[in-house]
Amino acid sequence: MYFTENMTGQEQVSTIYEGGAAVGIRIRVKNPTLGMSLSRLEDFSVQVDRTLYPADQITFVLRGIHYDFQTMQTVATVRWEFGEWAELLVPRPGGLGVVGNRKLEVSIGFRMGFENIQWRKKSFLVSAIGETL
Amino acid sequence: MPKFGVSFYSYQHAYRTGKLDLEGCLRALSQIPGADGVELLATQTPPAAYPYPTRAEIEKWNELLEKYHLVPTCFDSQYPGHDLPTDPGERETYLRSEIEYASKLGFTSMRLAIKDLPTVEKCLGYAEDHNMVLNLEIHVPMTITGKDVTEYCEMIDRTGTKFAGIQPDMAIFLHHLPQRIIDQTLFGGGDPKAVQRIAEAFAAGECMEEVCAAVKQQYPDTNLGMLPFFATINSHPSKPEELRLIAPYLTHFHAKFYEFDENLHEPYIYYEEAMGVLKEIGFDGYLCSEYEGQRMFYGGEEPDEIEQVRRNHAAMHKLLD
Repeated sequence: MYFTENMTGQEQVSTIYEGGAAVGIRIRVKNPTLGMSLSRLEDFSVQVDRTLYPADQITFVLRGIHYDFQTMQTVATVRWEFGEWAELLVPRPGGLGVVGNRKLEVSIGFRMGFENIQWRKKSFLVSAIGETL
Repeated sequence: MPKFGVSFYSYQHAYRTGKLDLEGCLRALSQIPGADGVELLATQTPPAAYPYPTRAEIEKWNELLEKYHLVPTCFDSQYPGHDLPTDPGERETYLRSEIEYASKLGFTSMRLAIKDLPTVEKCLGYAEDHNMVLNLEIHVPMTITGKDVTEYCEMIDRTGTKFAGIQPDMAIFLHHLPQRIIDQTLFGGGDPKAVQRIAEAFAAGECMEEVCAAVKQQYPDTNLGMLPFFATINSHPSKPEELRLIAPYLTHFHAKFYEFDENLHEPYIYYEEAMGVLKEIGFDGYLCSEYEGQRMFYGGEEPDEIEQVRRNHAAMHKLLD
């Protein structure tokens, strides 16, 4: 689907390091629909290979401010604008790993427009050592 | 003679991918001969923080309009959710806040999102105070002769208001499915026979609800993407000559299109016929381009929105002159 194609991709993924250790995965996501308040985000998740990380384990970062999922449900005055990038921080010891490829699926659901809940999903492979596949 | 403008919806891909910012959209519009009208959605290309613009942002917006010699025309209101609020007070509050925002940015008409008659009638005075015409858009699956439009026109007659009108979307005259959405569906893995059945049924005027249900049953594992929804929602077209029935109420027009070719022909919508009727009835509102073909691109191919809008305007001038 049009808006899903450039929602995210392998070039938007990197490993998060803290104190020299790989602790998670950072995924940049472009708003896959029109501008909306954070409270309109119904749900989101990231699947890395066979492990599913639900929204309440992920930190959503918009314009440098970190939000947990529960807080986002109450935020009606901060908007994720059309075409704007946000980040999903997924806690995952080892990050992307050191060998092989990871299969990622990013899912975002929101309440907007013509349907009650709309879903955008993008699956792609990303190299553990950052090489373009 | 109509006036001409562009809805920045037409540049949504360029805006979303960072190729154009707001000023870039204004600049692109200013380079179209004969066009000066700006239309936009605040949920896509906000001219100022929505819904609470600052004074500095409003001043900056006005400077840009003056720089490019442009005029705000229609503000496309949206309600962020499928389920409109049920509380009448909440509906009225929302519509008033939309009128206020649009008015601060210089718009003089609004495509309504909250459009139930009781709410609109309650806000007519507020609209008049803010010099804002409240337009009911005729968008698929609505029709020109449908109940919504008839009742809205009756409301205009009953109240005598000058601050309500009708704005059709050109896609109500769609007669064939755009080739790009067919190709997009095939690229997404749609079974060619299933896709062909839907396309042919649409062109033949069959009942698309039934056809799409039957196709989904016959091909349960195929991915048809948006095709069934698009075909169904567009399957009750209006006729261009029906525009004469609502001529006194027409205030604005969405010049929706999916693709203009090099010969300035839109193969899927009765453009020539509709323009002919608008010329006969002396429509003098704004015709604002609304290019939607970019949503049918796939596989990394990039739409050329600026060229498509240019062709749209060249075609409209050719048909109206």
